[in-house]
Amino acid sequence: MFPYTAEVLASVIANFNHDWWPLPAAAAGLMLGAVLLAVRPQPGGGKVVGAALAAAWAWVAVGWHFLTFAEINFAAPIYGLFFLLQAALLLWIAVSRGALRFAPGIDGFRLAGVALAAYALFGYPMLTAALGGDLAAVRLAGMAPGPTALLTLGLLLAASGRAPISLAVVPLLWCAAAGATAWLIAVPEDLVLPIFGVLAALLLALKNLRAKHAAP
Amino acid sequence: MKRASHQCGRRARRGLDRRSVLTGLGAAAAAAGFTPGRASAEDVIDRRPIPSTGERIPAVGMGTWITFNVGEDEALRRDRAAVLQKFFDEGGGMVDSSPMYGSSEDVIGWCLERVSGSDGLFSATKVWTPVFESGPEQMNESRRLWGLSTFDLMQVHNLVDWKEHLATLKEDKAEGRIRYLGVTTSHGRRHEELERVMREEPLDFVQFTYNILDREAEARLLPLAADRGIAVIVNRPYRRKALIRMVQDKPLPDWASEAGAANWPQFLLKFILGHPAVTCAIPATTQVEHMAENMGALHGPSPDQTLRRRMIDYVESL
Repeated sequence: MFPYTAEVLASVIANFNHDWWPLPAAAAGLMLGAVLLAVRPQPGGGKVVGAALAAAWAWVAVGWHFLTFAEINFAAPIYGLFFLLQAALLLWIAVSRGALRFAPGIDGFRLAGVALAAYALFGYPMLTAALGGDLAAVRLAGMAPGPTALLTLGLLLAASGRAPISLAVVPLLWCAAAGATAWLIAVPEDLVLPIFGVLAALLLALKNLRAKHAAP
Repeated sequence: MKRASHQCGRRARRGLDRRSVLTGLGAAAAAAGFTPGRASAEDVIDRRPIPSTGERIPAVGMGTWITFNVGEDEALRRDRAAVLQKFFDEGGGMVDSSPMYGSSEDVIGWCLERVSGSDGLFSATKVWTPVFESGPEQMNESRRLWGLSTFDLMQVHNLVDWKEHLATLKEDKAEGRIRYLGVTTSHGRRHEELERVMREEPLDFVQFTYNILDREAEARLLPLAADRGIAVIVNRPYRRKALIRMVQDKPLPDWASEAGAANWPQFLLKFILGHPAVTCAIPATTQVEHMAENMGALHGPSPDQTLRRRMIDYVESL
């Protein structure tokens, strides 16, 4: 049982986007930059992508969960702690250890990953518009937890070699939690989260299995 | 109910004075066999006594779970203020909330500043401490949010850390920060533990779920409350919206008027109010017209045991 309705959630998201403008544009731009770095790899690009994602997860933890969502949902601070954990993991695994790498070339996982990231960037807001929702309440990657989780999963799929699977745990947990919430209070935009989450988990497992067998 | 002096001292003094006056009037009216209320003697509001003091409160209150958790949205806040205004216009008293309900307490405080007739407010909230928060701090925050210096009723939410919190509530009651104390549960959970608390602790109020289909409380909790002189607040009278959805397209029986019900919400509330141990039911709504329907249950007869059985049979047959 959740203490708020879909109408109130949309109102809170709209206020969040409005109150922090132009940060939503900057956050979405940062996430677009991360996707472009994954599509056109540069030396050290994996670390930059990791740092951008860490910044996004930390901001969603603080700006959304702690400062905004907590106003209507008593569980938000707990969610925020998980998001901070994900930010720390990104800094440690992707930035410090350099375990998130991107390389030129195209394969099915990379295509699927980029497509998922593109959906998180553009599809999420377009779905709100298509459903006749309040455009002020669009969920933007880098600001809202759902698209940020999907974009992270997409970039893990687009990474070269074995993806650091520990970076997928919190995004997948969020896909499950937000999907359940979406089902119970009727938020159609977030119903895609568990579907894409399961697909991403399967593809990540398959990708890492193939990478393991392909290793010399 | 006392308004916080730092926010609206005049109103605090007025509320206190009015309560004193009403208490005196109530005693006089009770002595004359008249139940005080906004309605005329021909259409008396159903007020029920709190066993520990004899103070009477309207038998239909208002819950705020989900419905008043609207954040900062001013349009939604104005809508809720209209609902609360209707509640007071129709003679409502108890407003029940909790820190667990997101922005509900803040919204209630906002609405109370904007409605008239709130002198009849019977303020009821809860202490519910998630990790890292302490009960006294949380209760102070609730007072600030509601704009009150005292609460009429403070309850331990869902029996969370009830031993620790009840000790605090007893002190608060002795020192006048609250007038009554109680414990709550919902969804039919933890009834055995609730029963133990009811037997062992000096409670003024207890709150649990009871409705025409969820009648587990009839077996032990309601008789125990009557036996121990504990006022009963009934939550989830409509199983949130599920009971309304279940019956709304079905015909109201011809004999519903015998139970004092002119529509389905009143039918469901009258069933609850027909139990002699029930003090107050607290349906929640976001709609002014639904509030009017709910508050209609404050009027007319309550069903006796035979009629209540008939009401159960009818609803179960749908």
